[in-house]
Amino acid sequence: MSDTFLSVRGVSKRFGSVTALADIELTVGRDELLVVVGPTRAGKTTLLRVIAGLERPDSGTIEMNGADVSDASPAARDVALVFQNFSLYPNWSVRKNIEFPLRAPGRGLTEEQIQGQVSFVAGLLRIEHLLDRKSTRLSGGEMQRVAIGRAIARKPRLFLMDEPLTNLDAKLREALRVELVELRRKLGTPMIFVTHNQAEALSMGDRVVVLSEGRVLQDATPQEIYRKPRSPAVARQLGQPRINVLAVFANDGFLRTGSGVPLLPLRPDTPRQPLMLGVRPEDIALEGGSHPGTVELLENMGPAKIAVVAWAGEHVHVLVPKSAPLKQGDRVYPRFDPDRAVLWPVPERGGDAPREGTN
Amino acid sequence: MRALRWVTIVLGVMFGLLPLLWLVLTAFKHHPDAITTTAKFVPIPGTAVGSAGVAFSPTLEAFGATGRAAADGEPNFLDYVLNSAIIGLCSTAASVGLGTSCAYGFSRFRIAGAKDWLFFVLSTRFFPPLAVVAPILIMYRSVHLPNTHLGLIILYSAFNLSLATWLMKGFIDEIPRAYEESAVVDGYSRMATFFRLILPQARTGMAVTAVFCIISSWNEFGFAMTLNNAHAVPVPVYFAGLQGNIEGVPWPRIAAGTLLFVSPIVAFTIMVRKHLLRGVTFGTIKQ
Repeated sequence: MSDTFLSVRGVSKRFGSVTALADIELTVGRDELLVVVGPTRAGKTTLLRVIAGLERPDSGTIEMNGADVSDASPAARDVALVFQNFSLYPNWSVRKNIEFPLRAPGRGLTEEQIQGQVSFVAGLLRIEHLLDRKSTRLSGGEMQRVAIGRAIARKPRLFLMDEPLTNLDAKLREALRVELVELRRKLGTPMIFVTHNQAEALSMGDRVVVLSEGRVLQDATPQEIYRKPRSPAVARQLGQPRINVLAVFANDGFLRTGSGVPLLPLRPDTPRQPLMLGVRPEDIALEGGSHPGTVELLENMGPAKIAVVAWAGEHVHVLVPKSAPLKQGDRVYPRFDPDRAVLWPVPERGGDAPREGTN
Repeated sequence: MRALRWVTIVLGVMFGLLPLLWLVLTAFKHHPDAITTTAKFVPIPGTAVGSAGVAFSPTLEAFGATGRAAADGEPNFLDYVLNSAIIGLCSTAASVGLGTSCAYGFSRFRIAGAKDWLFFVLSTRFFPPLAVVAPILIMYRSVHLPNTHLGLIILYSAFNLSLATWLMKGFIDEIPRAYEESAVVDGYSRMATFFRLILPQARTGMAVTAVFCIISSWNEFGFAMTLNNAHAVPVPVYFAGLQGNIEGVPWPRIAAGTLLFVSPIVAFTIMVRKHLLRGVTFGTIKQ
């Protein structure tokens, strides 16, 4: 038996002239939390719907447990889907909501088993006190707990979570994030968690798939995606504050910025054509460099500060400790960590061209 | 300013309610009091019938006459009400039931030419229905449908179906698909999700649609008069028949009958009033 539970092979889906998914390849292990991250309209929801069987792919196959389920009904796939808007049945009690999947025809559970599962789930999610409350009389966090409980109750083979935390406030989101990861570990059920929130992606996933315009841009561990993003698009999507992306070219022993200022020494394997260089704000020091810059703006970020430095015709974001004695207008000498910088070939015209904006 | 506003409101309401008030007063009058040229509007018990002045003696005579059989073997008022009820309720149930199913189909499935079909459904209301009364009478005759409950039930259901479909489509469109989808993923069939999730959610819409349907079939006169004038006669046709009476038009009886006739509709509308208000403002307020 392999360690893979789900394989999505070459799945494409178009809606009219819009390509939602283009030749998607991905796998989910038996005990793995896969985060799919991407901007709006990247195809994340469509991907989940195709896996759940709510949409039929135009081409490609979906295998679960080694069996081809491409033509199987949603019920036969035995997966659970949690929606962004919770979609609890209104006017039903929490108990009835959680029971509903358990009472589906063909499941053949006794009343005793059903009640057993309901109390098990209620205990797990600490919602015992809410069981008899109407679903419309719950707070957002409670609703999402109940929705997750409803998904867990019938012990599906795979969890599909469609931005389940997006509609919650920030504090609750973080709490539930941790809870969900622990819960999944306890249950040992594979999960695909879809989000556009980079913090969720990096903190939750055993593995992260970056999706954009229906294509997989990168599929790797969160660390690798953060450290070695395969393209500027991936780099920009993950990490807060955002990565600095500069257009550079190799000349006279150095990688130089567009205005010719030396940035990093050349290595023997560095290609000679124009390149894009990515360096995270935490990988830049404000002293030790050779070319001066000016601190234009300081932004407080809680435990740290972001210094926006005008340097060699660019705006470079640098993460500095909160205590750093820095003020606006200071002269600094940014030094880039040569081991942490990432180089990409200049992408073809289109989606990946560097864009203005600091977020 | 405030006083002026109230005076305006009271005058407006009185003006609007005057015909209704007159109907109620007439229902409690003796026949001579109802047809006298003096407007009698002060009910004082013990006033002599036919006396001068604005007072009249209230009586339940008209209601009694309405309830009694006109002659031996003739159907009485309650029989007509029963006819109206059978026709109204059955056709309403059919329109709402079929309309809801049609609307569900239009709302949830990709149907080739769905917009054209919907327009076609609505187009059945573009002409005055009475324009087709003659061909319908001829067709009905050949299948022995005139003077039956079924005949009018079919007709009213057909006429109300377009309205029901359009109204219900609006309501069902507003029910999020996520409910059904999550139930389908959880192992329910489409049929089960329709009955267990969609129908309970569509209750408001169905109540609103039912009110419109029952009012239109309860009050319909033209077809009823043409098709059902001997048997299975509904109340509006019966009222029309009273006008040719030898003793002159029995106004108190007509008024009493009208009151009795509209009261179930009023009661029904009040019952679903809460839904009705939500229904007619549907889609205008984002919840």
